[in-house]
Amino acid sequence: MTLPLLPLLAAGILSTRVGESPWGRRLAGGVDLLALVLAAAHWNARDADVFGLFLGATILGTLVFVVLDPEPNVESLCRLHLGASLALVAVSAREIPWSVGAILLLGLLLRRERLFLAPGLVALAGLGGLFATEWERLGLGLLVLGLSAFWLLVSREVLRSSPARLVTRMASSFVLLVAVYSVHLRSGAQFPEGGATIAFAALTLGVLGVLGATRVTTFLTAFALSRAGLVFLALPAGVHGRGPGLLALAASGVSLLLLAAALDGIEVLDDVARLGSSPRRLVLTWGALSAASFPPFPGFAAAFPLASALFDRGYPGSLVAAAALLFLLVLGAMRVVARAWDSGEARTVEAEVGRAAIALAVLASWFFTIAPARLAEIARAAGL
Amino acid sequence: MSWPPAFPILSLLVWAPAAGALLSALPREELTGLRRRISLGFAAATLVLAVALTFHVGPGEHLRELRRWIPTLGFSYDLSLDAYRVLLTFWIALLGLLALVSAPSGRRATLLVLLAETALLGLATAGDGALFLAFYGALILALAILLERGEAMRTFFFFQSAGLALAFCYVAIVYHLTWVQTGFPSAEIARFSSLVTFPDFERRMFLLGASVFAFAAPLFPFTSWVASAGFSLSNPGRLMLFGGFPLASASFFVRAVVPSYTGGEGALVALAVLSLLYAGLASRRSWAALLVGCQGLVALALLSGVAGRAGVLPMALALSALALWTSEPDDAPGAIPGGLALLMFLPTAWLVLRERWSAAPLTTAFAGLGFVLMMFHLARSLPPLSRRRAVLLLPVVGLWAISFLAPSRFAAGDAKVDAVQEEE
Repeated sequence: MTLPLLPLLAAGILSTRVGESPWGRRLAGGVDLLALVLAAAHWNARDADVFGLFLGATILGTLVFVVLDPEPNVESLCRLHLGASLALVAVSAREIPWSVGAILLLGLLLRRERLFLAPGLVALAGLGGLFATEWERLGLGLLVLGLSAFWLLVSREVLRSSPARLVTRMASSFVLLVAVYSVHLRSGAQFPEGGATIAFAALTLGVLGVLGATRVTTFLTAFALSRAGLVFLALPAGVHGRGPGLLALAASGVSLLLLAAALDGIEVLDDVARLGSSPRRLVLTWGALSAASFPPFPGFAAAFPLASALFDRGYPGSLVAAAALLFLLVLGAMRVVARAWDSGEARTVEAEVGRAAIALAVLASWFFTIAPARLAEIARAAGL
Repeated sequence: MSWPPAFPILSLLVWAPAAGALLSALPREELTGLRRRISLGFAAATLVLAVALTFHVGPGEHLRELRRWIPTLGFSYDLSLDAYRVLLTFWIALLGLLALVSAPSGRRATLLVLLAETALLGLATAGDGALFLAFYGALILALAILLERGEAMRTFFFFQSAGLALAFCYVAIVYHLTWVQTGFPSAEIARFSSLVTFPDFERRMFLLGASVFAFAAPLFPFTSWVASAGFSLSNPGRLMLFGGFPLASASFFVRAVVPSYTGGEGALVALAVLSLLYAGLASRRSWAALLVGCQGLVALALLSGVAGRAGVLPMALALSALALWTSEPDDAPGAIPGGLALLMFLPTAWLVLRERWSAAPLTTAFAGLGFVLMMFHLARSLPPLSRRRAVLLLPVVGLWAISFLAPSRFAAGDAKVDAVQEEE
């Protein structure tokens, strides 16, 4: 219960005059970090909800990353913290209705658009269906469909139209994804057949977007969509897909945030060729190729058990299609990386990426090559 | 010479160039001398270590370093060396040093050459499929960025990531089969050949493995990237690309595909012969034709038993010698004539074609024709080599001569595990 309150406290600090100073932001970051440490400390507790704690830790890690942004938009930061608090409720609530309610509120908090009403109502109708035995399958299908569409619309609006900095926008989109994923995950054992179709549609649309995008916001939206598709692809694999799914989710967060950090302040992808800072280009390379699951970056290791789990459940065709789409995603990522390292361009954009982002990239990579064993064990234990 | 059992000698060998890369990136851009001293120091230290290992690991012996990496997912940090692969690491360490010595390079090129060296050493020593692919991806990325020109980078990356994606599929399928048949996940490469499968499935897997080789090597017609890469690269990069990179695909093929090989090599042989004919009929001297022709010969070598497989190293050495030859055309008096480079190709070609002749005389005749034409083009177009470059050629020729002892190093014998460092 403490975890959702701490981001609220951080939001409170940020909303006062103290929050406008670097010192105030550091204080808010300290509160986020405290929450992260608390989540880590609870992992070994006997009755701990390990899934909720891992997803919660992912959200809190995202907040810590965003607070490290050297030039944040305080209002967006405050809004993100409020949203994170709702997301923590969504991932830790034991009853699905609370989670769905928290997600819908979170979406409204991030962007108030009437367009969200339709998928929200579909999700609520699906929720209603879950309470009637004869409508359970249909209800689950509607819930999955409604929440997926909700995430898609909110994220698209947040990433493309928000005035906040790119890192904050990406963090909002990712926090919402974690919350939506937690509901999908809980429906795991009886995940509807159509779920794989939604995952594939998201992956395909995302890959096409990454290949064709010319604006940075479109590129990031498409990348987020493709990663979400990949993460949701783990759900039809049942219990064995949970560990790899969680790894893929966490790797997505690290990669997308790094990518957003590297692209912040750029309007069109062509401008990547004029980036002067080598650390920034390194972070861009790291983020883009990691988001495409290219070895040896984070996200690659999860692909093996994920592939095996899908094989086991009789989805070999889906697996081949996913491999082909991931290959295209790698090419889309390399399109930007090659532009960044092309020696033929004059380097006129001198903005640096924060050292904190580079340190986090290294730490996250280390974490994702050493720690997944524990995460997968936790996921499997929870699945059983 | 021996090391304490817990001493991570293989890790030291693999990661020393990467440490050198990081340290050489620290000095400011204008401190060229300091950066050069750091990078050369680390490359030389790696070479010394590789030489020591070459004397330490004899035929029938092997050295292994095994640590937990992601045990629940079945991945381990597994590095190992046998008597043949220790020769490969010796060559890679020498190649890294030669690349750095051959021309002064900027911060970016120095860093990437050293990272590519670490990736190549990792490829030669990795015993786990996931670790192998991680090093493979790192090598592709390092070489792609070394290319500097966006268009060349994208073309190279397209073909190589296609090869990597196929290699990933291969390892993922075997990983899944291991999980199903043994009850626990594992990506250990040595385990691949012990799986129980149907002959039809084995043929398909061989075809998949052969596709990896065709994309990565490259074989005709997957060659569009070679010409632009050869043109874009400076001397150190070209040495790494032509002297080291071909070892990656050959290493995958020899270690992961060949042990479970039961036939169905027709498609690969056809591509190899086509590659040699393409190299022979290409109207002008170009890197694309040369590399593709040599890789066609390597493909035939890989299917020709132990003596043939041992020919992979001499071919890589011959290609490196050519990279030195053509990087800086020089017709100064006293220079070494280009015909000498051709001699380095002949023994391996003779061995391979002789072995293939009894099995398939017609295809071997075509392959031989392509090879002769390729050598003819090369002899006509190679410029003389300056004396300064000839100094760099000496260690290459020396190792080339030593590499003909390689078949004896393939002998398994009573494999004696010299040092197994396990951390459970």
